[in-house]
Amino acid sequence: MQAQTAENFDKNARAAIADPVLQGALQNLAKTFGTRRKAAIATVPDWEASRETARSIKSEVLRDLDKYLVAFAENAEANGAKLHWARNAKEACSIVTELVKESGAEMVVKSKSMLTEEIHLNDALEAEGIEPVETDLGEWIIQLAGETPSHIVVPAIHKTKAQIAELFAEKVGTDREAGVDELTATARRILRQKFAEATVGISGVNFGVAETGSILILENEGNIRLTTSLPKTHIAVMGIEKLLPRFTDLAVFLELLPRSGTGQRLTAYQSIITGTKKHENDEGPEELHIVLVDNGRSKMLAHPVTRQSLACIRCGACLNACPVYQSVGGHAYGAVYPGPIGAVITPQLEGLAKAKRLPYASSLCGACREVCPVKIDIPELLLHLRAEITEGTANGIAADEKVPRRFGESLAFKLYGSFWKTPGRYRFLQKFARLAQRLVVRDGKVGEVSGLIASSAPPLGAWTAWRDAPAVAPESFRELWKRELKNGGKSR
Amino acid sequence: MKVSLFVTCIVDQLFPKVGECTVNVLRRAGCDVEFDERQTCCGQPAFNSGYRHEARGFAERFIEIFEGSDADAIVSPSGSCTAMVKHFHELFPDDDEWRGRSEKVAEKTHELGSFLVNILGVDDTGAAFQGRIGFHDACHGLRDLGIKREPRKLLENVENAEVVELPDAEVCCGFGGTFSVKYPEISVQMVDRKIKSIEEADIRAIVSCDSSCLMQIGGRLSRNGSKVKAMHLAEILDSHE
Amino acid sequence: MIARTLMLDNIRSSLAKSTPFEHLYSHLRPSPLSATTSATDVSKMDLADRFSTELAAVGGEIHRVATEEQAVETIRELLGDLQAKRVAISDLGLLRNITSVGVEVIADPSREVLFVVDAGISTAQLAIAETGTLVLRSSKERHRLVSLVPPIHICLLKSGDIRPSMHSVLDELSNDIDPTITFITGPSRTSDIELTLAIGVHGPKRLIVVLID
Repeated sequence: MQAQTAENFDKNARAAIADPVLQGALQNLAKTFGTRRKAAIATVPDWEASRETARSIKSEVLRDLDKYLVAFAENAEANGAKLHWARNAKEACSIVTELVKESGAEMVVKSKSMLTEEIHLNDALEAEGIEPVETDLGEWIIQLAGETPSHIVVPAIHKTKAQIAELFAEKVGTDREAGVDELTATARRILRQKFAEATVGISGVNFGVAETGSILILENEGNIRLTTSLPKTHIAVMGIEKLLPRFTDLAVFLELLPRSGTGQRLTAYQSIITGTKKHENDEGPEELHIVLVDNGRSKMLAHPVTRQSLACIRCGACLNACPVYQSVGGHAYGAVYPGPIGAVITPQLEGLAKAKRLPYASSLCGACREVCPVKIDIPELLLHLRAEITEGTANGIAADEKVPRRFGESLAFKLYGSFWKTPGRYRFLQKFARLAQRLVVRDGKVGEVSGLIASSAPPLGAWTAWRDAPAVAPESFRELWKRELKNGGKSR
Repeated sequence: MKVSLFVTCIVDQLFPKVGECTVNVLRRAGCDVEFDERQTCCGQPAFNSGYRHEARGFAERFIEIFEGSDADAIVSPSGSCTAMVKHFHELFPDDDEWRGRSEKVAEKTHELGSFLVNILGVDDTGAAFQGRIGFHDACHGLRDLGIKREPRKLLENVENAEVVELPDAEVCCGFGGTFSVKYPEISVQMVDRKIKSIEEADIRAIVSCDSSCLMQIGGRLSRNGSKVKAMHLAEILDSHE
Repeated sequence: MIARTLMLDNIRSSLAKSTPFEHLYSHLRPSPLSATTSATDVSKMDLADRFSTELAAVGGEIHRVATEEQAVETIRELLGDLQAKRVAISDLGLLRNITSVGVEVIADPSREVLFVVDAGISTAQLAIAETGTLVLRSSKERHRLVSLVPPIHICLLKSGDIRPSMHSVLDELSNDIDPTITFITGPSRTSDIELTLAIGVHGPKRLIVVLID
């Protein structure tokens, strides 16, 4: 399937809206996640206090991230882990592929990790003749389909059961009419083979603990436990922002993340891994490698507004709450991370010019901010990025790159800026509008406007293609005020 | 109490009746209403699209006009415009003086429903409106200003009116300023979801505190030939039928 | 080590850039942390009851007994009901008492064996009442794989080892952290296909807890 790009968000969105199968899947997502999350957060005595605590912890660690990373590395290494530092995707992939090659493995089992999607690790492994096997059911489904994930937590949510059954029939020979249980059993059977053979397991990391050098990984399926227990070598790929200061800090995040992500009080399994085994005969891998990845994250530390992007715990709640995501799904964003969080980190990770449409793909409704367990103010970030894209600067800092100006829009806003501000010019524009609108107003409103008028005033064309527009009133409020209301007016 | 009306450009130009009703309601609640004719716009469209230079111009003008007023409060029939005023301080990261002035003005600025209930302690404007009413929580009013309870309280006291709670009252109508014309297909799909629940609720009017939402919802209702009216809270509170 | 130095330098210089703006964002500043004890609604009295209820709610099965002897007997019966032919056990001494007619009980199972037995039996060191969670500490028992690979996991638990909340467990373990601590809340599951729940993906399909009061 041709990967969609962020530059084509508008086209992607239109195609998504016109896709009835996708629309059905998205409606299911919106309804189900909303209900489950609501029920789950009702079980927390003081949800708001928990959010506040989590946000405080994240703010604390991000403000001194270098110190916490140093402590994390020291403590992890003291417990037998080997730490690697990767400034970008290329370095990270190189480190991981070298480790795999050193082990002699030609196949690796992998558990779900958005970071490994971000750095395109599977491509890098395959280029070196190594077969990466996704073991999370959703990730395995899209691996079979040759697609990318469309959601941070449920990667195959854009596919219906029928589509998945069709895919399995084609790729692994199951019944075309197979139900969910049979499909799941098939995945279990086939992937178990891989688990039994694998000598290297690659995972992500949900949280790292600076105080102890521990990493926590959570899941429902059990593939992470298998990936991190059976093979001789465990490679954990971790974003530098994933740290927490103290071991007990994990509690509040374990309260927030499963509820926000899947509406569960806890996921079926959490593994807290601190270094390697202490005795030869103990269970578990002989080697633990933790690869710390920057890939554009450190840049976001440079301003309080952008730094909050790094507080994200990848729960996906903002996607589920977003009416735009609910309309177009994840692939339309053309980026590794979709939805509201994707719209703010993609321009920062991949560049403003490339992702310039994404910050505008929002009505700024704030539903995302409301559900974010760590209180990231996504609308504030969207506005920050819009200013960077438009003016090359925002909140006192200069943007990293200059984005070509949109001439027509720029001119329109400059005119708005000068004509709409002072009463004299404001009234002039009002008179002009009353005159010009005679071309399009019928029965006191503006119906569908087409042809020449629509192309010379595209916003009007875009509005009226689907909606009537109000006419400029024959008497404005200020004229009414002067005439009548000023002096007490007509009381009733 | 003396109130300085911040009528908003959209009401001034497109929905002047809303301004008229706002004045009537405030007067009936015992306020002395003044209208400074120098006002134009809060600059929200520029701010939301990233044109902060232009937005700053509007903010400075607004602050200059309203900080000189001796009114006890600046009241506006728009949640989003009131929210913009509360955000003015973000336009002056390098200027402590302007920031201070913007915060002073923001403190005095209130959305109409919130002003009536929370400041004046008025929850009954003596209005009457025949029929079922549904309320749409405009996003800025709801999430920026915390307005939820106040309009419902006021509407409940309108004689003859039956206030119906819509299941998706808090969901965005899809306007979002330039979003509505930059991504019209998404915007329209969002408003269609709203309209589905509006039609299912069998109401006479859909009411909100924001004229931009009403323009979006009303514009689509009108195109559909629907009988449902999109009305501003002020219009209902000044209604006598 | 060059990458490490460069990365840390990048981070430091980025953080330094944000210093002039910090005062404008006091609302983003961390509030002083009170003790991060998340409030819990579990009283000490009903820990076992609460644990049982929560475990059942997530699809786990619970059998409550009064003594260790009864626990062993219960497990024998379970194996009979399950028609198990071969089971693997962890290295906890008590479990060697489980002998059952017609059932091969394998202590110290190899990998290959784990993949073909009908059930795995272990104990849990701690548990969490609030969520029905079992806590397995890798330094105390060899149960990491026996609790994961076979399709059924039977787990013994003493009610005195049940704690109210996740926070209380983390607090308790924070000074003595095992190489691996595993938290188990119910059987393995997924909702990846149309958000429809399916039980038993990669981990055990059934989780059976024998709780000794």
